[in-house]
Amino acid sequence: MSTQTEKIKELMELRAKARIGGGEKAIEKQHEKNKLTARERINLLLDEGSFEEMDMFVKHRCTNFGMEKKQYLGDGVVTGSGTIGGRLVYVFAQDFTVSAGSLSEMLASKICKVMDIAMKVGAPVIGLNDSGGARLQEGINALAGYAEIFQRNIMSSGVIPQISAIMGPCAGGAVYSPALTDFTFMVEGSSYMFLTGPGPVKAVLGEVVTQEQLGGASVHATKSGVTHFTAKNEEECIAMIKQLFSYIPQNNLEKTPRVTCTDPIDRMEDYLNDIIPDNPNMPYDMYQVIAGIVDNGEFFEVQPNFAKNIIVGFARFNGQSVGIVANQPKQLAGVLDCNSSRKGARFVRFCDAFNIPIVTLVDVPGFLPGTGQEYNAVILHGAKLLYAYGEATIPKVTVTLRKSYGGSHIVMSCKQLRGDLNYAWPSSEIAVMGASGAASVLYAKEAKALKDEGKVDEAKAYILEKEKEYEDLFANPYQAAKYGYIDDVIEPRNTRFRIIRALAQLENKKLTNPAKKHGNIPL
Amino acid sequence: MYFLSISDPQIWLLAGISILVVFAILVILVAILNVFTIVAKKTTAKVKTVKSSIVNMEQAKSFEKASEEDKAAVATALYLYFNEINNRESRVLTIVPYPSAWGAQLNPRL
Repeated sequence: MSTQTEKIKELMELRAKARIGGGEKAIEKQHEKNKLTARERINLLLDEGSFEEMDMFVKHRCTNFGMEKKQYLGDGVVTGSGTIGGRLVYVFAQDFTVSAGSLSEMLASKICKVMDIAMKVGAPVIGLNDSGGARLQEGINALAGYAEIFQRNIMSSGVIPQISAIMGPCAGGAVYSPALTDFTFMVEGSSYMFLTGPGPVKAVLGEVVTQEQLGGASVHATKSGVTHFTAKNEEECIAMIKQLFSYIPQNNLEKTPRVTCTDPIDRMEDYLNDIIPDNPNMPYDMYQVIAGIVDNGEFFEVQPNFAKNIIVGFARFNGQSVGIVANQPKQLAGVLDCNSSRKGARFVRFCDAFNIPIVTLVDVPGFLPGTGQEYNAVILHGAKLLYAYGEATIPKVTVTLRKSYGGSHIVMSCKQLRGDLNYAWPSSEIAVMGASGAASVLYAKEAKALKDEGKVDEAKAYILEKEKEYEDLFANPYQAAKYGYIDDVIEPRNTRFRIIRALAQLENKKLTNPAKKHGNIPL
Repeated sequence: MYFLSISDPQIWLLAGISILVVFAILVILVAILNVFTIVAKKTTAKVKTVKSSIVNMEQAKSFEKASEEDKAAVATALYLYFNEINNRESRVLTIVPYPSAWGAQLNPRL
């Protein structure tokens, strides 16, 4: 063999060594826990044969605590580029088989390198996290590595989409990188996220909790809202990432690629004409409305188990990717509260940052009252949603289905918040408040006088009569239409076509906000 | 020391002629050696070429006569050998090009 051939053989041997990460035994252990290795995850995620690995030969530089003897090629993270459906994407996958995926200075530099390139070329970054945290032997260098990653997360925010998947432990400072990205996925049973683990919690607070109770996928999907998606296993998680990827663009200067629409744009669903119950206090399922109007009834919901009184997610109209925000009358009558407001606000801001039009379906009776809400700053959370809609410059199409009362009417993409095309169903009620509340406030004195005279039944009848008057005047869309606050009253079954035509009109919408360093959203 | 004495007026002429004769012979010898080397090299190359081509022809003829199984075995061995000494990589370009405002000279957001 010539010297050159020997050199190539050496390269191959080094690559083979790098590819087995922490070794066959460590890989077996990973598989025993029903977890895939970093490379297996990447292979599932990317188009076949598209992955180009970078920094395969990187090693750490630590010599503390005998670390100079523990050297692995790649140093616990696999990084590189590839494609998903032909679209370029940069990925990093932490390798738990190497020092439990702990973050070192060099590991962080590998992640930073792919993030930097992604920012240069305008391509999304997907991070597959499976790490025991900072590499303690490296001390402050590991912390510096985290900070370098966070800074890049912040600079990339709103420029290129960033997606995180938690496929194992993610504790301490490590949680901030996923938290800074646009979407977080978690795998049920095998992933958890928390700042301080069960040990310190017990030591400091005396509280005994398991990892799952403290930061498992179900906790973050239902209670905290930290994660946007949960999957039963890693394969499902990766399939969901790909699905999400199809709805979002490469960067903030581009639009999501259109897909061929196989669903007739003029499809009419007659059941929509009857979906609103005659009794305004009766609920109906907003999912049925969404399914009836979007392409092929396909809706990719974000945070489906958190703040269920508002529904957010992606769908397509005539092949165009659209963000949907809708109140859910089946949950808390569709009221806005702290959690639903921040859930909606974050989604609206994402869509606005990445040129995804928003379709808002409104049926909101107001904000949830009570000390619980007020003490938790519902004012600020509600203001977030208000701010997000008001600042958004993307096409905004709003359809009011039934109730749209008071402050919540304003918040849900009303005309004055630069809603582009605002439609209403004939069943809509756009007013300051509901008829019963309004009548009891407006005619409280008269009702009280009747009660004082001992005419209780007459007082009730009087209030009911005034309620009817208020209903006749305001419990319809025509008062709002009279002043141009809505653009048209439409037949429910025609909603799909009207939205598609509205989006076509707004295709080339151009609107810019005043130049500023940045706004001061009520955080 | 008689012969070193400058008694003969022809001595300088004789010495010069002797030196010239010696150098002339040396130059002729070098030229002859060079010619020999060139001729020897050319002859060897011709012989080698003829020999190797004969060997290749014989090998080719014997390979043609080999059975299908033998041919398959040889082909497999060659395939495995070349795979072993080469770094196998995907050679499929999966990136689909598309028009983008990102790299445009006149960036609309700048």
